[in-house]
Amino acid sequence: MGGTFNPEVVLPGQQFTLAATFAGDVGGEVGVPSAGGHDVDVRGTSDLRVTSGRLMAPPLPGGAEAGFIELTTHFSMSGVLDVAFFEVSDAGRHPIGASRNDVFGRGNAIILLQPLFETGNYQVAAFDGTFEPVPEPSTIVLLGWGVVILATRTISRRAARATVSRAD
Amino acid sequence: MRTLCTVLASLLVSLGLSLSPAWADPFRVQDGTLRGDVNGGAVLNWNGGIPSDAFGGLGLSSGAFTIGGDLQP
Repeated sequence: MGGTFNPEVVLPGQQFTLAATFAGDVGGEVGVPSAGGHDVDVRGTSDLRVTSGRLMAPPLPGGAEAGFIELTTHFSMSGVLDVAFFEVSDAGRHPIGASRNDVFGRGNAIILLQPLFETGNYQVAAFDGTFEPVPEPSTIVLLGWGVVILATRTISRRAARATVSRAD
Repeated sequence: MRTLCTVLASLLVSLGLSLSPAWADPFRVQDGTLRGDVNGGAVLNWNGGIPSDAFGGLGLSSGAFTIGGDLQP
């Protein structure tokens, strides 16, 4: 099993929210040197769930050779990575650790729709998401205090001008 | 004036409090990508910011996790 999209097919003009599931066997590599300086690879399973923002499928493009349609939206992800790590050397593969982690994320995504001219609708073809950082609370607080100070100064100046005008 | 400042300060505090849990979440991917296609494959690239205690404390700096299908990281 790999990735599944719900809905798999959308009609032109249809509003939809994409739910994607990426579940199954996991492989790959990680950026960590083992104690012996060997490569480390990964084996395990995953179950990642993605939900997109609300989208609308556009009218079918003209011409039967039209390519993919790109829709931009935001998304959130949650799920599990249950993986084991192996040191790979000439002597073979040796387990060096295993872990089950709940992972989360959110960001912006491009969703590719493939026009199906025979049936007059689209197939959801691919999901391409980029995670975005959550700002530190201290950054938000600093920005907010800046806004408060600016607002206070502006209001004070206006009040002072109004007082001077009345005195004149 | 005082009311406005109170409202703004309250807004600030509530915003800060609502963001804190998300920011402090240790296994939140903040730098990476997730790509998947209809043929059944997906790749989660976790480019950085992996907490040192994640994944059994191995100290990963990055990870490319290929999920099903034939996609390569």
